Amino acid sequence: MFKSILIFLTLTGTIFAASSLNWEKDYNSAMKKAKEQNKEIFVMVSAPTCPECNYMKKNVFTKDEVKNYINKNFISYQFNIDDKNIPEQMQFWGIPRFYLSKDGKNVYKKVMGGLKTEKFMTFIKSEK
Amino acid sequence: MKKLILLIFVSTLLFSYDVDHLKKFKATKICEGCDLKNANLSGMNFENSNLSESDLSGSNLSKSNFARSNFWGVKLENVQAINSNFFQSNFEGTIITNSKFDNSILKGVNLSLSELSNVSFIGSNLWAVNFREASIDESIFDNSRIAEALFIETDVSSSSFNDVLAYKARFETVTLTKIQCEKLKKEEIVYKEIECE
Repeated sequence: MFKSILIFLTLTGTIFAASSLNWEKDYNSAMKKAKEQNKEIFVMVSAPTCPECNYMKKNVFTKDEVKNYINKNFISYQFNIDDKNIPEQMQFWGIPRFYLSKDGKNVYKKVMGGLKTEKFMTFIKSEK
Repeated sequence: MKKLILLIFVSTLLFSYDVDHLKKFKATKICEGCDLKNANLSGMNFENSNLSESDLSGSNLSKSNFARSNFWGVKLENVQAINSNFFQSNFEGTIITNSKFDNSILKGVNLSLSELSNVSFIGSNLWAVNFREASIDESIFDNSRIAEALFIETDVSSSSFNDVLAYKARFETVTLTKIQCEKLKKEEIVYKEIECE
């Protein structure tokens, strides 16, 4: 019984991970990883109760076009709006907010609110 | 010449705000039934304010924060409210004409029973806005986000909805044009008893 539950949880975990972005668990390690892999950082500031954030996670970040592009070119990290360690340039009251940064501190592109896939791709592919 | 100066003076008095009302509002964020015509309220923080039944015609509300404010029964004619924040504010029964709310945040706003005529919401965030029984004429919602908004018992056929994010927006007992129907149905809207004329 325990084995079956374990297999089920592993499988669902794998499926879930495969269907979304590869979110890093720690911001310092995200910055370190980005430097090592010569990638940029994609940051989302959200909250579990935010419908727009959930729309993005469920309807946009699950699209192959989006997740493949982001996972290939960026290291992704998600802050909760209440987190104390949000970099200064990423602090604002509204959510969801999306930031692109080379070093994790200085923002070169930002956008706020839920976006359709095409608009989000225009944002993410925009010139630095 | 004297007459002209007098005329300009009188018309300025007639069409501008009551100085005491403006002072009171800036100091307390509460001004019910006030005369704030042509007042400049831009670039300020008026979160949790109460302006119910006031006249804000001709005023400038741009780049200001009016989150969770009460605009019940307010008159908004020729108003500029660009890049402003009206998060979860109450606009029930407001009369809004010839006004711009472009690139503003109106998330969770209550616009039920309001009268909107020639109002522009271009690029605005209208997530979960309540338009129940609102009268909506010749208004522009282009490039806005109307996801989870409620359009119930209203006629939006004279308004434009180009390139909107309408995910789970609810259209019930609503009159739309055929083109609007085709466009919106592609956007995962929830609809019931809509009339596509």
